[in-house]
Amino acid sequence: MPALAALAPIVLAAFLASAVEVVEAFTIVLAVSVVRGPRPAVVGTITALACLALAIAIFGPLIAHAPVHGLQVVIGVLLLVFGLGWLRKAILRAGGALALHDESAAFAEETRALEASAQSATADWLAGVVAFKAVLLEGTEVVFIVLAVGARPGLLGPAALGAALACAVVLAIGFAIRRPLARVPENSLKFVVGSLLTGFGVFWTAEGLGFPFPIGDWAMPLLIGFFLAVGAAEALFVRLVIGKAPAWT
Amino acid sequence: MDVILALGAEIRKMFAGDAILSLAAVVLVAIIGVLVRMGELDPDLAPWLLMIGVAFALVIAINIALFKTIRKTRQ
Repeated sequence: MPALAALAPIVLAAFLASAVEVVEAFTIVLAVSVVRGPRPAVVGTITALACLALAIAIFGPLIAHAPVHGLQVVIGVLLLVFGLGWLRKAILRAGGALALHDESAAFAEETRALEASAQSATADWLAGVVAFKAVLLEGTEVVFIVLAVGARPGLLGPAALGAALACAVVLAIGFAIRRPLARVPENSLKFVVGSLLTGFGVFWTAEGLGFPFPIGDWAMPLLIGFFLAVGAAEALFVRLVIGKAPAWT
Repeated sequence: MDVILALGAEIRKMFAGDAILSLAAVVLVAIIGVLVRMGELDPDLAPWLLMIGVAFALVIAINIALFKTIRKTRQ
């Protein structure tokens, strides 16, 4: 098996997709920390991480017992649906048909909402719940991504490594600059991740249904490149029709 | 309760970017799977057909969204 052909896209997909989710969670946790202090942010984050760890501990072993091909079909189709959704939105954003996601605006909105409830006696509790919800929701997506891209025996480790690296990198940068990570090219990341997930979706679905690609694991980079090329061509087409210069950030 | 509802909404959002595109992808997988099982489609050809079919569905979905955006802008 060409190890690099299979492993590199898995680590990369888990890293990039998790980075997008961690950036979104970090923005909200930072807003909580700025408005109400670090305590509710830390308590909310740790509680959410504990809930996620508990869910993984309960459901993880069940997945290990599921038949590999059946799991690949289910996860492949879910990845297709999930990946196509990201790719479609990223293409429309890159093409100028949809507004780009703005992390600074998300931070400002969250800060306003928290300040509005600052006079309430339960303000710290509410702020903690906001942090908890953000980490739990984005964390659930990270767990799904790790399970989905590592849907073959022996690949879960590299997928988890990619996600862990993303968490470490985003949090290290976030703690260093203590501001929302607005300069992260989020749409470009979502564009690449959408292509990666769609590629994995096609690959796992075909393998799970019993008609794998004749070129084996080399189909993974080929599929990813194919969806990147289709997406880039479509984004340029959208730009041409709408009449603006390409916007990839 | 609020957290569970938010989690449900987030999961729904994860998979419901474009309902027609999602449905098209699922139907495509089902058709190709059935045709291969029935022996009507060469298993070596099937994965390539799936790849092209998914890309085609994506292109159609983007163009529908683009058409809707243009129509909304002109109104």
